Amino acid sequence: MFFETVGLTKRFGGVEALSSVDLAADRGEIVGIIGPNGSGKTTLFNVVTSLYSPDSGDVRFGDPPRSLRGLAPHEIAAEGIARTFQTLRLFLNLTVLENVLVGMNRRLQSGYWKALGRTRRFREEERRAESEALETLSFFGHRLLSMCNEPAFMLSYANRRRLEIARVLASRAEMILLDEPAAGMNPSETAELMHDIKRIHQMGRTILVIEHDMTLIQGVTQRVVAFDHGAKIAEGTFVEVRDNPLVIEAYLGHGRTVGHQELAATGSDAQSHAESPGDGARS
Amino acid sequence: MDTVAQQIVNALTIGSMYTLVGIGFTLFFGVMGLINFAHGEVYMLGAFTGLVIFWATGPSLPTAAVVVLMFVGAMAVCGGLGVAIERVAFRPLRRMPVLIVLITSLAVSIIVREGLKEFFPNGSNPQRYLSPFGLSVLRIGPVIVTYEALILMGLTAGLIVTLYLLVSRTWFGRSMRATAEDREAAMMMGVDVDRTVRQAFFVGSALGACAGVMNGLNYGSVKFDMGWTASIKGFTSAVIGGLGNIYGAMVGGFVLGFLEVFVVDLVPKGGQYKDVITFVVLILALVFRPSGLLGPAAGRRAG
Amino acid sequence: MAEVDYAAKQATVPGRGSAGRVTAARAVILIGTAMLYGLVLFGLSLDQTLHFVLFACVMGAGVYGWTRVPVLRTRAAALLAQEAGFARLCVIVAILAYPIVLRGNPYLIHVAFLAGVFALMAVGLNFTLGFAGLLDLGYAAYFAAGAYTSALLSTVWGLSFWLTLPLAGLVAAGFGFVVAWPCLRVHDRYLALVTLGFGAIVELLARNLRPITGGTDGILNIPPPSLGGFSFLDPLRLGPVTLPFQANFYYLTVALVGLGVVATLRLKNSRVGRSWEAIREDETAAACFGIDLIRHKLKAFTTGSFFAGLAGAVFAHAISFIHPDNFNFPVSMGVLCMVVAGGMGNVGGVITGAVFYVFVPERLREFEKLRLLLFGVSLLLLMRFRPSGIFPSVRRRLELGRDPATGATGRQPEADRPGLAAARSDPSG
Repeated sequence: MFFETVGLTKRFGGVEALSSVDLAADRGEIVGIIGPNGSGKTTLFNVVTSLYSPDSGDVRFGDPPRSLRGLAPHEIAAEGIARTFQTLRLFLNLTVLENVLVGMNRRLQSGYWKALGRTRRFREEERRAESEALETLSFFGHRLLSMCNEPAFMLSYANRRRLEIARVLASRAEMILLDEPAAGMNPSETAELMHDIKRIHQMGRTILVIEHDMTLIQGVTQRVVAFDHGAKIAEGTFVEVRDNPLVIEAYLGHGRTVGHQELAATGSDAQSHAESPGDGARS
Repeated sequence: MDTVAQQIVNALTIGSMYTLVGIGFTLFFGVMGLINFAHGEVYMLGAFTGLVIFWATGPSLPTAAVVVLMFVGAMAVCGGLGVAIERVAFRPLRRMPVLIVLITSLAVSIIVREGLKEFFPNGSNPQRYLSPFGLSVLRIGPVIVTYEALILMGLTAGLIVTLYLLVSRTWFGRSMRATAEDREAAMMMGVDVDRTVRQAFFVGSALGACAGVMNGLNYGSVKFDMGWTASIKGFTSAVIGGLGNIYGAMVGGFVLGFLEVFVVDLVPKGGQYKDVITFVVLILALVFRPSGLLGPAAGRRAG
Repeated sequence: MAEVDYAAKQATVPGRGSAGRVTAARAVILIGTAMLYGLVLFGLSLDQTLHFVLFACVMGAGVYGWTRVPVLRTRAAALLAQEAGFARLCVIVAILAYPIVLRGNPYLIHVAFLAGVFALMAVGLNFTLGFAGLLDLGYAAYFAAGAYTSALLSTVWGLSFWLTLPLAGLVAAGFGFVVAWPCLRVHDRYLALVTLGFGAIVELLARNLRPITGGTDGILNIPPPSLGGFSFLDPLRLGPVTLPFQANFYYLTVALVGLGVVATLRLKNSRVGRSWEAIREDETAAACFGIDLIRHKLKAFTTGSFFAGLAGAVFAHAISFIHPDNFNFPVSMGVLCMVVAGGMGNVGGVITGAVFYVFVPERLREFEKLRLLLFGVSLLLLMRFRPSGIFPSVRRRLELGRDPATGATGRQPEADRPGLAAARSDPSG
């Protein structure tokens, strides 16, 4: 397995945000992660990227796999894992280009003294970095390229989401974690995003996608994992998971079974977050 | 030579003042996430308000009445001032980054301090605080306790008990704790956050002013720059108890008071470095246990 | 000036158009610089406070009017971008010419020297606060470290200034390192207090460690620097012109500030500088992209404090007498405000802030007593109405909300276009 979590557990106070989670992904797979709000999806990403330290369990990554336990977030990035954030976390006062250059950070060498001295090696590296960054931006056509010297706060919402992805691409990370990349997007933007994710997949990346938009999950992922209350409750193809009564119950509440149509319908409205009266509003 | 008992009395005296100021800091931090440097100046103004009241009423009223008036007057005036400061300086900056708010509170503290220095008669010099008790003291065994110190400790105890009841039993207290914990949730639960903030500022400032008057009575003089040290000491007290934790603040000041008194006693030439000790304690507390003595140790790594 | 380095990035082909157009552009810049220079000198010559206040009001109104007319601003920005090199040359000449022009007034040269010392500190704090976003409220501690180090090394061990200067910087950097170390794990809000505590501790130690620092007596008789046989207390002879000795210190400071500016610009457009700014913008995201927070914060802190150390050494040897009062909290506050008001990360802005900070109170001598009070009031107003600073880096202006003074900035963020997947490129310009 290229990536796996083994018995990953994380508690906040009395609440178990992650309950002994076993999740795995093969190299080059796209895995979708779904579940109602507060089911632990983002917590999973936060633990994998070491923003939280787990209470027990392990994360293994790489070929050959090695444990990521105890590494700091920047070391995780060096291992080859990059992510986007559910609530955008761009460097708003830096230009679009600079955001991408920061994404490339782990691959650049020149440090403090070389920069001060403006050595030839430094200048060359900067030049190469800039042209590569522009190339990365061109992944989205002219959308981001045309704004490359504008500060990131000037970008529209959809472009900001794209920039987050561009930043991840720039890092050439082998595994990419996308946290609700389609949040707030309308159907046509989502369709474009789906196409973009497929293109990234074709580049050979391993991708984990958290999403509420079922159309995207269905259209892009090879395998789906469903969460509820911090635990994995189902795994399989999209259809298998969608029809799983546990999953339906998780989204719509206990004792209320519902037809396929209703659950599928939650996918067409990009803004919907299925919330059941039983769930607390944890996120 | 001072006995341990005497030192304890001293520590309690100083601790009382620190606690009262520290409660203010913790309140402001709790409801607004604000480190309010201006609070020390409110403390200073409390002392000066008391002084003015003393000048106005001293000759004509009995001692007890004067003292009561000084405290009540200072608390009322400065409580109101605190609310005014909140309204004018901090309310408009609700959503601003920490840095801006911090600088604003520094600016307010400068304005208040320099304003008093300029416009109060003879403001730049220390003002004598004539105690209504003169020089008489109480002797309990080998320990000398001034009447002022007695009042101080008694009043502080009373205030703390009142505050404790207020915070734990009343709607006001609950609103404040709720707002401190989660502002949004509190709003959704029907808490009038604006009013809670105002009330917190009133209470905090009033207590600070009270401490100011106590300081004047205890040391016999006040000066326009007394607020700065009080800010630091008060803030350290709040941090020891855990910023935002009102119960902690009630204790933190005493901890600091004891620390100061006993370290000065034990360390050679300690008196000179008394303030350094406070700062070191502050730094250690912030670095190793920012949640204070009564809060849980921080568990999360980032964001 | 922010618009210069910002728009310069966008300028593609230099010197477009005929040679005539270039000359015309340069002439405009030259005349503009000369006019501004003249105005500044005129303002400095106003001895009477009232005159100065009137002058300041007129200038203020002029600047305000200027910002209100977008055409002027964009034209000026374009012009400066096009002839950026020449414009910079003009500014440098103006700065170097100052003592020559004002050679009859050594006091004003001295004031400019002080402004230079503060500018050097502002450049330093710009690394810590402006780039990395780390709240250092005890910056005066490093200033003190540098000053005392240099003073002691030269009075007690007789070392030459040229040796004590870099040593002072290094010692101050060491202090910065020591202070930063525990601060790294501490959240934003608390960082301010920890650094404040350190600053206060250093000041208190300066006051109390008599045998080392001279306590409240300070250190006296610090020797002036000398170069060859030439002492910095000798008047400076430049060909036909003789300048008062204050010019020596002025030029020294200008040189150091220049070094600082070069360092700033070089680091800004590099991996380190971007990492710092990323940390300032969003520490968590920065870490997730491989930025080692601890090492970068340490680098920012030590770089910043190094410059404070240099400033301290220069200050000590120019004034020849240092005292704990020179290194108290108001100094830290002042430098902090320069960086915030000048625009975080904007080196031109912070230097301008330093100049204003030193010069304005000098001209308002009559209000000497109210000086701090006025400072507090203006600070409050600044934070309330224009928190992004007087010379905001164009970037920050929009982050903190629409600027009431300028109204339509002419730059709107892209409109979200719901529905249409076909996005066109340029937003409104």
